[in-house]
Amino acid sequence: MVGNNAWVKFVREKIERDYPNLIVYGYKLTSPDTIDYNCVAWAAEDDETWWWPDIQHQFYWPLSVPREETIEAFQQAFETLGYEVCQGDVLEEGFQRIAIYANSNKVPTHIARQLPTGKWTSKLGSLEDIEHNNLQGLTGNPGYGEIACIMKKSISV
Amino acid sequence: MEELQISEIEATFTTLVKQWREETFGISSTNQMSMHPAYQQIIGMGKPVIPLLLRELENKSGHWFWALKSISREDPVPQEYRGKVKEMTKAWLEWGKQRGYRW
Repeated sequence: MVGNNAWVKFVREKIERDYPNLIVYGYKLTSPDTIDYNCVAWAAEDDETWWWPDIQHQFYWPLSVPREETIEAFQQAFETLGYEVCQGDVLEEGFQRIAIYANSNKVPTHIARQLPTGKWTSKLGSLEDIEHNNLQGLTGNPGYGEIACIMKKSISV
Repeated sequence: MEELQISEIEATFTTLVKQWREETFGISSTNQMSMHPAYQQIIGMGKPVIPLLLRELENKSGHWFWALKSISREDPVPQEYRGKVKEMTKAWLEWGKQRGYRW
């Protein structure tokens, strides 16, 4: 259960204020809010760590990857998990995709992970996890900007 | 007079915390979160807000690690715990207790 009705209403209003395209394309809350992990960690299937290349070196970032807020660094971070850059977001048997979003300055803002159903799962910063029907739901401004890169890795079927 | 000053500090702090949380909820970038004007103003309030930050940390209201490090010039979190928010929180709360802070 993700909170009581009043809380759910409050959270949904907040989410829809900041990510209005979700209203158009559809989403649902799937986990309670927590500051223990963020979107990058969730995309990496880690719900115990906050991943970010912060300049004070307080949060987790793969040691072998440059600690910088660039699309390339984020690609390298997921390459350490077996992902490779690919084209398209269509569900493909035997593969799992992630999508890196970036703002107009090409700075990464968010990462989403595709589910076996073809829909996507995202951790919205310090907010809840959501399941969203497509990648467009989190694009825009307000929103996470645009999709900068899609990656995929092989998974057991 | 001292009590009034403390009250004013707390009131200002609370207002800034509320603003910061409201405006950074969906952000994953700790750089962006920490550069937010309200967060920077909290850092600028200096050492008097350390116990208030520790209370916020205990209440899991947000990531206050950058602020605590900036104000105290210390970081009690072992390298192996980077990003492990629960362990980071424990380390800072223990640090606060060892230095006699009450919150």
